[in-house]
Amino acid sequence: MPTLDSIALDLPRKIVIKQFGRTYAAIVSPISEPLWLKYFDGLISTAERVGKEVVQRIDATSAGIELVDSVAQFVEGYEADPPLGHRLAVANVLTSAFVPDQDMQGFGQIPLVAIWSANEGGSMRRHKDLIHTFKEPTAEQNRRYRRDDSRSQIVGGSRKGMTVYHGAQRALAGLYDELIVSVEGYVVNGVPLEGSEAIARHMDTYHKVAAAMQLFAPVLIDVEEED
Amino acid sequence: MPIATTCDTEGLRQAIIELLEQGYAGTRVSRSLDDSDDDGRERIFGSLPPLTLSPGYYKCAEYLLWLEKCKNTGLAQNDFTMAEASGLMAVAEARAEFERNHPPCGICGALQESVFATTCCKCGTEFPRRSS
Repeated sequence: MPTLDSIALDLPRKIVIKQFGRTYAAIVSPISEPLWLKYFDGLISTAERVGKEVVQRIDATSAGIELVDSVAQFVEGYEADPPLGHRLAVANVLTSAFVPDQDMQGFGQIPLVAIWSANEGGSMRRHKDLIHTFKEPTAEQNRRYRRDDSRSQIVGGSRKGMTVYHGAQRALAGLYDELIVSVEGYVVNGVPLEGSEAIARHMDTYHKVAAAMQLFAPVLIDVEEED
Repeated sequence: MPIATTCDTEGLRQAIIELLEQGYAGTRVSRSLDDSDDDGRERIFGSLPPLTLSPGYYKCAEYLLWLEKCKNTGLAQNDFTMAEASGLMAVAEARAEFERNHPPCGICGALQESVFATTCCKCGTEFPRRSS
């Protein structure tokens, strides 16, 4: 049964920002997979050796701004173009899905937490009951993920240069479609989203990538220190 | 000019050798780690052979070492991309160089610290002197 907490994937979402006692709002229509893939291509993930340490950085700012500018309509509270801070805030909402504490996971079941849209009272809500259930990846699927995840370019020389990772999000989006079995917490046309094909067609690509990535992540082991 | 790590077989060969050397040194010092305090552990980690290349090489090298395992266990067939095939050749060359530098004991098979070892580090077998 769809609940008030379900995410309606087929409806525009309203993102509300409250600042200085005023309310601002942007409307975002469902974001197509090509637009999300363009966003992922624009992420800049780098690593470089500084002395004995490896310093890693991810810059999502430019890609986020570009995405927001192509999908969001700032409809309420603005007399001029929305300020950069508001565009970044919308980008943060669009990319808010993450996997919480691994204790909540079952085998093949990945929970997501995400902010999606404002409720009728105009408050942004965090959804905590989003579950993605997958088949076990095959060795070949694992290989596709690892191959894409290991691709990078070096800028500035092989030793002192900076590594720029290409990222495996495209592979993850594809693997999600192949492996997804069921989801909870999402609706389309007011009814729960069911069936692998329908899920692959309607699911937000950012949610796909966030959930599928966890499938290939190692489980952390609790270690007790000896006295 | 950016370098694609998957195409730089010389860089990958070097990265794989460095990972193998670190793994070898890590195995040798793992016992000392158990008996060390934090300062001792830091010293031990500091004494491991350094990784000298940009981090992307090691991620690609780790993938190739994993792929080599898949190939050896039959999990991967011969459906490799050109980059993977050259990468696997880099793994084979790096392993050959690593094993030349750490020849195995003829009795117990343990890898020696160097070609100049006079006795086996594991079973104590004396090696014949090398004639120069």
